[in-house]
Amino acid sequence: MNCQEAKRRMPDLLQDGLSGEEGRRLREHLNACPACWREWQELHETWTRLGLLPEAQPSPELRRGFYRLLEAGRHETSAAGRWRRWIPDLRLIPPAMRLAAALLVVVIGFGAGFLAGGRKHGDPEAITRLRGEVSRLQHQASLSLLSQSSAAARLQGLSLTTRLQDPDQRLLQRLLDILDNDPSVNVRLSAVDALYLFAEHEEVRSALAASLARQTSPLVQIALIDLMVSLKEKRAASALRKLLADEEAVAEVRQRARSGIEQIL
Amino acid sequence: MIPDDEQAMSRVREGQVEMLAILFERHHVSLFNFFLRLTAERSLSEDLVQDVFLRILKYRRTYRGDGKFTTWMYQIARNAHIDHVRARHPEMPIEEVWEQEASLLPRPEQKIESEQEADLLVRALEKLPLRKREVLLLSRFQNLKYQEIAGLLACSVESVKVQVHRSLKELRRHYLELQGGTP
Repeated sequence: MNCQEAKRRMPDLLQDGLSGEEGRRLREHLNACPACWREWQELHETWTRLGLLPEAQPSPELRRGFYRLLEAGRHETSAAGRWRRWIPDLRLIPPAMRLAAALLVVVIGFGAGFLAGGRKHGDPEAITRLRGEVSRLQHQASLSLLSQSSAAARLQGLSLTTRLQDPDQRLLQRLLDILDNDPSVNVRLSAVDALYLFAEHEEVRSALAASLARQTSPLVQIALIDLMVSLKEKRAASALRKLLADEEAVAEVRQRARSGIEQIL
Repeated sequence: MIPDDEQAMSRVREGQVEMLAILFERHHVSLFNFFLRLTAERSLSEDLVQDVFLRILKYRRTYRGDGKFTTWMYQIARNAHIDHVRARHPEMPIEEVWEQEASLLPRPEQKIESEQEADLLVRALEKLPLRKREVLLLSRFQNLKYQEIAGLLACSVESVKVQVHRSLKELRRHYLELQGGTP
């Protein structure tokens, strides 16, 4: 492989690596050519540095605006669907009949508008139904994000979950699984925060108390102890005592466990 | 069964528009960051995200379902951005605007809050012409393969790779200059 070809291949190496024969030839060239090696290092460093750009969060207004848009879109589609069912194919109607039909529609429109004058917009039942569907979709979207392999996606899923008014059992169970088993400490910590919002559910409180004994990260242990204290959850007492007695536990954790026991009991 | 992007969009096309919520929740943050890095304006970026989902809803019947949903979505995102650029600079041919660096284009003064290093990087990105910045963002952050970007930009895969290579070199030069070092 010559220098020109090596330069042409470098972007492949950046995005998803080069496997097989081409990858081997490029690596061989890079090892043998200091100029290309330097160029590759510079490209790779800049590509990696781009990863430092923080991910910004949009304002809540964006989500609100979207759901308003969706509501309007849904209303329009269901209205269009109804029309399609009731109106015959206009192309099959003779022109004179079309004109008559158009006039009839105008007259009916004026009449209906006159009769409906003053009636408020919006059918409360339809709005309740739509809210129910949006909540169902938010559940699905949360579950989908929570099962992604990327920790950032799972964090996004947790953030979405906290916006739900009443998460279902499946979602709550998923949050508890994450608290116990997620490989990322950040995700487990966010799960503690999310579950705090749903602590009025008896099964959540009891699972949170049980989870304390299973946690190994001091950060998560402290977050859970604080949560148990704020909920005055007596079922956490035995786990707190175990932590207090555990000589290998971090000093800060044992101290929190001690003050936690005093506050709970 | 949770639908993947393509299944969800196919259902939107068939009239189940509420399925768009799934696509919004999955992609709006990433789309917002794409626009934010492209324009450096928060409020405009939110408007553009909204515009993209409005267009998806409006043009849902044109979705063919034979490729990745995200490629189609970024095609719409590009069009929304191009329309915005045209509206903001009606006096300049679009090709000319595309080759200008952002800092030469008049726009409201706004700054992205970030750490010093990330801030330098944002400023270095802003010095790239729109065309180069766009290719870099699509390949680095939006999980689009060079092949898919080539489809979006209507050019060859080789041309995309050359643009990525050149854009990175130029970005590095601007970054080092801003840092006070020599490129």
